[in-house]
Formats: sequence, C-alpha cells, structure tokens
Amino acid sequence: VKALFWVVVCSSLLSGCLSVGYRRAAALEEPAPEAVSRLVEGEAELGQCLAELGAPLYVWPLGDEGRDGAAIVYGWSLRKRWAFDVSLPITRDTSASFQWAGARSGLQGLVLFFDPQWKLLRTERGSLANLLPGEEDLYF
Amino acid sequence: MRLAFLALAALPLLSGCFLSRSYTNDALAPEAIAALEPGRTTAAQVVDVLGAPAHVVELGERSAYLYEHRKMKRAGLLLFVITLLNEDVRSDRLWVFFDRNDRLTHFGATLSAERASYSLPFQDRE
Repeated sequence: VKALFWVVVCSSLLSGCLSVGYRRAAALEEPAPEAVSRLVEGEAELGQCLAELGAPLYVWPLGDEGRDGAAIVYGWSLRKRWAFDVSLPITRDTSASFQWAGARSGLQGLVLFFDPQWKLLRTERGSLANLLPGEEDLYF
Repeated sequence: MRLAFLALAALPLLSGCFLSRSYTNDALAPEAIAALEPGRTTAAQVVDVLGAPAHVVELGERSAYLYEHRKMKRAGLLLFVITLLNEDVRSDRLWVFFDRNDRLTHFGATLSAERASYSLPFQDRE
C-alpha cells in the first residue's frame, strides 16, 4: 500500500515532464498458409489466387506500365512499440529533453508475380520494405 | 480504511480509459459484389453500382480498380505518465480487374472490417 501511494504521488508530480507509451497495433490479416500452399507456381491463374486469398492490399504493375505483368501484394502487421520521453526545464529559457522509441517494424507481406496472361510466376514472402523498396508504407 | 484508500487510489487510474473508432469510405455491399459477372460486367456498370474507386491501377491496356472500407478500433489507458494503446485495423477490400475493352475479367473480395475489435493494451486480437 505504501509503495502504491508513492507511485501515485511520484507519477502525479512527474506527469508534466515524463511520459512512457506502449502501442500495440495490428493491421489486416495474413493469408492462410494452407491457402497459399495450394497455389502452384507456373499453373495457378489470377482467379484461383483471388479465390484462395481474397482481395490483395495492392496491385503493382511490372515493367512499362504493367506490360510485363503485375504483382498482387498482401500485407499485414503486428507492431508492438515502447516509447519514452522526458523533458526538464533547466532555466527560464532552456530545457533538456530525451526521447527514445523502440524500432518500428513495417508490414510483412506476400507478393504474387504474374505474367501478362495472369499466370502465377512466383511468390515471395517477407518484409514489404525489402520486397517493394520505397513502397513499404503504401498502406499507412 | 485500507479498502477505502485503495479504492481512492484506483479511481484516478481509471480516469483515462477511452475507446475510439474511425472509418474510411463506406462499407462494401455483399450483394453488389455477388452481382459481378466476369466476362459480362463492364467498368461503367461497376462504377454505377459501387461508385468511384479508391484507386485505379493501369496495367498496360488493362486496368484494376480498388474499393476499400477500412475500420480502426482503438482502446487506450492513460495512467499519469503512462499511455497504453491497442489498435486493430481491418478492411473490406474489393479488387476488380478489366480487360482492354473495360470488361470484368477477375475480382477478389475480402470482407473483414466488421471483425475489428477493441482489446486491452497487451491483449492479442480475436
């Protein structure tokens, strides 16, 4: 009880200069692995992929405005992030502050590549930051 | 006395609880999606029924339209210096693909926006 009392008192006194945050953010859903396993590269067609996996997050043209085919992108994420912020007044005109935040984790993704006849060429899985450099934040 | 003190101490801890939700675009109507017929439905008919797409992708002479309704639910807890948040984002999405004559060739739909849920800060979503 005594410890709780001091935690409450100290927290009240520090609330203007100290903040600690935790954010847990889940976005979208990973396609079911068994559905992905039913898609055979070189055989599956776009219609089967859409029927198995649902609507993608994004459709990406390949080559010159999609003349080489297209990729369809499924993405999902679960971000858990702590952040810490402290700010202290030093004098009337100056203050010192320190901020820290855990590393951001981006979308995980599954990318299906198709030829111009909508035949599945290959699938790739991993961080969208690596699979689609420069486009990893396309959803947020 | 001890119980009263604990109750008093707990009151300010609960003062910062909140729930919020936000949406992007209107929900997709399942009956509109069920009416899509590859080989027959045209891009103009899709736009008549579903309105302007959220995104259009040119694929050479072909094209694809995105319709999306996104829902986010957020639960938060503010404890003096500590802020705890849990967010869940889900969406209804429909991609429709057209050939060079703007006739529907394929479509794919995912309807999961309604499954967005509120959870405690450290809790997994359902």
